[in-house]
Amino acid sequence: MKIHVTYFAVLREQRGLSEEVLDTLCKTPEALYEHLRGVHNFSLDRKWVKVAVNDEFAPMDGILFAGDRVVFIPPVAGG
Amino acid sequence: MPFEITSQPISVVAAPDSHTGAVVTFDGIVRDLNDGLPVQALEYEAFEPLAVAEGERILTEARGKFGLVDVTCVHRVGRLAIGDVAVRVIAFGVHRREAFEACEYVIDEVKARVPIWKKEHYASGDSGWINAQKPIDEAPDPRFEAEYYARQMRLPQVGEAGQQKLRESRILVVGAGGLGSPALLYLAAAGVGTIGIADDDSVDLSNLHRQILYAAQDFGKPKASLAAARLQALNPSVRYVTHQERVSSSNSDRLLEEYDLVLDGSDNFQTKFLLNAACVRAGKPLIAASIYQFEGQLLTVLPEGEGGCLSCLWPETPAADCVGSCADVGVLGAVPGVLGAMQAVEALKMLLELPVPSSSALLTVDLMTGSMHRLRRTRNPLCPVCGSGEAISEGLEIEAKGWSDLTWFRVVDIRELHETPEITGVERMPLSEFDPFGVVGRTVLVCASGRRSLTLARQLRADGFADVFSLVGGVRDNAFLRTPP
Repeated sequence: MKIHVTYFAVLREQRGLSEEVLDTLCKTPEALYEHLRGVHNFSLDRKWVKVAVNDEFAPMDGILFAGDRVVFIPPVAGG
Repeated sequence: MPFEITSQPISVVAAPDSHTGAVVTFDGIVRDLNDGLPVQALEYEAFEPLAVAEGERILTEARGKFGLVDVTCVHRVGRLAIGDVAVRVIAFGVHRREAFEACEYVIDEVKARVPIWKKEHYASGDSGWINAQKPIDEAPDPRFEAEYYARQMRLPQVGEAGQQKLRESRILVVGAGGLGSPALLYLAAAGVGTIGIADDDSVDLSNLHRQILYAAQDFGKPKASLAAARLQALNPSVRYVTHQERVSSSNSDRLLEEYDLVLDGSDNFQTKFLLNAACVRAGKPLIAASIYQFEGQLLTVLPEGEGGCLSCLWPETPAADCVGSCADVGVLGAVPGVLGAMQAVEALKMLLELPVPSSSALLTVDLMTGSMHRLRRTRNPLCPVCGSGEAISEGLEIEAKGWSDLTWFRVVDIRELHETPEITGVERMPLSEFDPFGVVGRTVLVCASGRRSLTLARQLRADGFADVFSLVGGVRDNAFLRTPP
């Protein structure tokens, strides 16, 4: 299924782009994150990453559906 | 000896910290002549609560006006003899100029404004009370205000009434840096009546490209008092209070006491999460923002707000090194400028009692691509700060009024595949072929009435699955399950 993924902060930096459409078999945001982490060497542990699905914060172990817009957000502290 | 060169250490008045480069002391001493009349003794009397309050105000002004490290003042009361010290001012500055100027300012203002009277006992046997006090708390000049705020009062959302709300408001800005600078400038210019500035840091040259309250000459001076001085010049009708301290668990509750609203411009997770918890405890709104390179995040926490708090998103305070700071990863100065200004807008809207949509969302701003996301937040009932913490895990059953109560759960339908109606968007794991190892994360089980799900949840708990719950009433009593989430 096709999932639209947006990255923020250090994830965007490590991925090298802000957004992309992925064709994936991952059923949950968590599985998708772990997959992407392996592929792109994300430094951030899964526990610091929040996910929003279709503009709403969602649990990492919720279910993904085709066409979902997934946003991975790490906390940021700069001021 | 009038002038001396020595190889011996010179004793110093205790300096408050290592930034101090100059200490100027003024002693006011009872002398034997006043206006040509010989004086034998003096008696001072004070209206103490008012005198202390006004004295503190003068010291705060002086810290702000001259960018001091610190300044103190002590005044005697009672009967004093010739040669006794009646009043002592000690100004601690980074450089000598501000210490000298501040010392003079404080003694002039104390003599003019603090309600302390002196009774001189003249050699002739006469005595007289002397007090050169100016009226305290001069009312702001209405013409000045009308002109100053004319453009914002023209807004239908502000007007005379809104301006009055701002005048009566008290906001604490934590961190007078990249976010705090623009936020403070706009809040002061908008006429928020009392503005607290909490920052324990001093100006570094590497701050100046984004911390626009400060000038190159301010290098090494304390930010809180410099900020107050800059803002005083911008809008003298606002009251500024400086808190030259780092927010910690031991001072956060006290700091918040005097304020209605908190704006977080800090630059580290520890302060951010501590402030969030303190605001939740005190029931005061918080407007927080953070930046990363060209991006920013902004969220507002309202007491009892549906969006919950910062810890609903990240229940555990992130490790300091889990993402980079401005020093590590770099930042373009205008980026915190945008986010700090947005925080000021949110604060002003809140004080004006206008809708604040950021209270139920996390706003993300990417100034590289020019895009903004509004991600809806909901309160996490298990939040360690604003929710019940671990307490809910003890209960086996949960009740839900709508899908939003289930946001933080993975919902699993354990009815057999022939059972209807289907719950849209929910995973099915029929009881007859249920695999406990398919249970991952915080899960709520749903069946037709809540009976089978309770039995299964109990069994799973016994098997060590701590985060499994049963939905009371199942599909029968929860009509919202028939509509998509």
